[in-house]
Amino acid sequence: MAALPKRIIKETERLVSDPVPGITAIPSEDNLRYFEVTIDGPNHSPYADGVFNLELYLPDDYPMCAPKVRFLTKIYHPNIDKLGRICLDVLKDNWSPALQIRTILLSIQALLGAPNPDDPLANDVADDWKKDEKRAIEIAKEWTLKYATKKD
Amino acid sequence: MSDDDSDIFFEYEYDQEDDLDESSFCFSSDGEDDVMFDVDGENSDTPQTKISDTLANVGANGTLYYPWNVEQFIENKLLAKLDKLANGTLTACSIDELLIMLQVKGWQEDEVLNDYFDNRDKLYEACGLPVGVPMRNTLKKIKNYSCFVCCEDYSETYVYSLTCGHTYCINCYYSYISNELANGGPITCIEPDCKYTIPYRDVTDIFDIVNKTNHGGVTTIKSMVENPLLVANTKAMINSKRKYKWCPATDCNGFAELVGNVNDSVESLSSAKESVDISKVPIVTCSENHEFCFDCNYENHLPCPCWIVKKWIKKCNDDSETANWIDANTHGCPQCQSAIEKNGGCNHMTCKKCKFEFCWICFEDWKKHRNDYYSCNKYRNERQEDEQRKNRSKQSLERYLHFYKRFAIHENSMKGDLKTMAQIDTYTRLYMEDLRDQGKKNLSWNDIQFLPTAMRALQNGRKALKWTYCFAYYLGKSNFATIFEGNQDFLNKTVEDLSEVFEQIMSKKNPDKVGMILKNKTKLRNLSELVNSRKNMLINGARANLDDGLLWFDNEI
Ligand SMILES: [Zn+2]
Ligand SMILES: [Zn+2]
Ligand SMILES: [Zn+2]
Ligand SMILES: [Zn+2]
Ligand SMILES: [Zn+2]
Ligand SMILES: [Zn+2]
Repeated sequence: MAALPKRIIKETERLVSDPVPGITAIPSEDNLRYFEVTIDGPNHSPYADGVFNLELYLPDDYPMCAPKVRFLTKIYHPNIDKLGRICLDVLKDNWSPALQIRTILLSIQALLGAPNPDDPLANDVADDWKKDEKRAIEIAKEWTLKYATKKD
Repeated sequence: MSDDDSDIFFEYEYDQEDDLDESSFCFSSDGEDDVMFDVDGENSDTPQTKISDTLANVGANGTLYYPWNVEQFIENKLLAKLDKLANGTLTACSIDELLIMLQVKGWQEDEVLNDYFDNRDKLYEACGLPVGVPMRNTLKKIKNYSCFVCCEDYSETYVYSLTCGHTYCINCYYSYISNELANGGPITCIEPDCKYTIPYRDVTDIFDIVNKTNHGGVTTIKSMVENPLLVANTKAMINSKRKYKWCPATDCNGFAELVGNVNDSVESLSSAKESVDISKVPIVTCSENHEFCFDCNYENHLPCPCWIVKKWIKKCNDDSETANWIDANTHGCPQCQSAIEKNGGCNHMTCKKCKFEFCWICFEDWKKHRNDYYSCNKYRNERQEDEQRKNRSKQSLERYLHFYKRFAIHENSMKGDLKTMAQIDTYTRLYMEDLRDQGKKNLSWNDIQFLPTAMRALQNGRKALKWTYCFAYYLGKSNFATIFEGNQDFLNKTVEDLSEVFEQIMSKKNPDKVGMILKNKTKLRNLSELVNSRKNMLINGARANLDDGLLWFDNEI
């Protein structure tokens, strides 16, 4: 494997020494481009008190290309599909090499606090959300309780 | 047109030798091409003019098209529009600004003009151009710089910034631009949410510096037609519009542009399922004279209609294992069984060991082929009666292999021919250069103009021949099918004769290649004319007989 670019080393160091509150990102021992990530559900959101596991992978052309991020924990959210893929502009067209792992993870956390059913990835969830927001929020809370509670 | 008449503030701080040659930007202004450009986008409401139609090429079946390659297209279509605006209506804008505006507006110069006079500031903003301040893009060498994106600490490096002042190292900008090129759109500042667009010529400068310093390259981007951004725009345009199709030949960056209402012609073609009217097959060429079918984006496959081609290719893929087995087991001398290595395209073989002369296609004695009544191509079902027990599927496999083998052999021979012809081409070029260096002129380009013509005749002749085996495979039995086979044999013989002449020219036995070419001039000329006329005879005959129902494709096959 090619040597790790300075950029990735620096980002990793900072993620460890100066972690973002409510977010952890730990590089895998055998692949330093692969991170195990947890994001705490934001307070006052249907995902509050939940801890969500994600995987983050830095492709070879990072930072020219966005990191690949995916939810591993099941989640009921109009912008996240069954496979855990995330519909977020900064992960796609609006990616910039000046963005970082930490900014991306913060954006994902913000997305949990502000679901956007008008730009859906999971169409059925988005439909539910638009038809009956109260009910959708209930389901999201149930799923959070069922799949995303802290394990000691 | 002047490059520095505007408010560009472009700062270069490097040694003289690194100085970028501004004059190397070449904006061709070939005024007489203008007529062609009205045949523009699908959105253009300019009606088709007679003039543009006469400039378009007419394909083998009457298809109107323009043969292009990327560079020609950039020069004659894109840069011509730039030229028009820069020297005409929008002299107040810089080249950089005009190029960005044209790209954002899909190269519709009318739209640029309309929007400009409607609301200049709005257009500039939409294009990511500075409004109210001069453009102050900066590319300069500085000391002790830490780049925020790559996290490298440079003791000295070039850095680039747009009017916004967001600065990053040149390596990051180079990787960033290279990565964004695939999108074909305007590329903005690296900073997230910063909308300033990177001008075309800055891309050239950044690429030149990085290629020179990091990759040890000496080649610089000499003219605008090589600009990576323009090349990427053009490719994206060709990929996204139905009136353009890339040439399918390997390593060719040519393409064809269909003239007229593309939707009509494309629809009429796809609706013509199982049509036997091969006069509808839209044969076009790229700038390099490669013939191809605009409909299925495959090489010229006449006399076969497109749907037969699709069927054949599918069959060949499905049966590829059987065919491979046959391939592997039939490559030896039919007399002494020793291995034969085939290099060129010609199928007249001589065994190195026993000197037996034979045909690579039917493995029969070559002498038989001198007889006009011998057919190397006819599928003989001789054993049919002796082996009644042989099941149908085995028979149909044998039949398929008969045609597939010939198809595959000519496909390989096309590659062999190409190799031989490339060698001849190199020889003649070297020879010509030699003569020119010596100041002699006893052989002029005119004297060997017959060469490319003969080479093209061989390639196209063999290509048509190859497709006749697909054609014949699906052909129903009739007297006219027998006539077709006869024409096939005629074409086969002439193609092999022509191929053999080329191969003899390159033979190790004869050191004076150019002398050999000149000696064979008349022979090459006659043979290539014969190949062309026999090819046309075969295709026209097939077309007419299909039309009249005298030839038909057997649906059972
Ligand atoms: Zn950098
Ligand atoms: Zn900027
Ligand atoms: Zn081509
Ligand atoms: Zn076709
Ligand atoms: Zn032999
Ligand atoms: Zn033969």
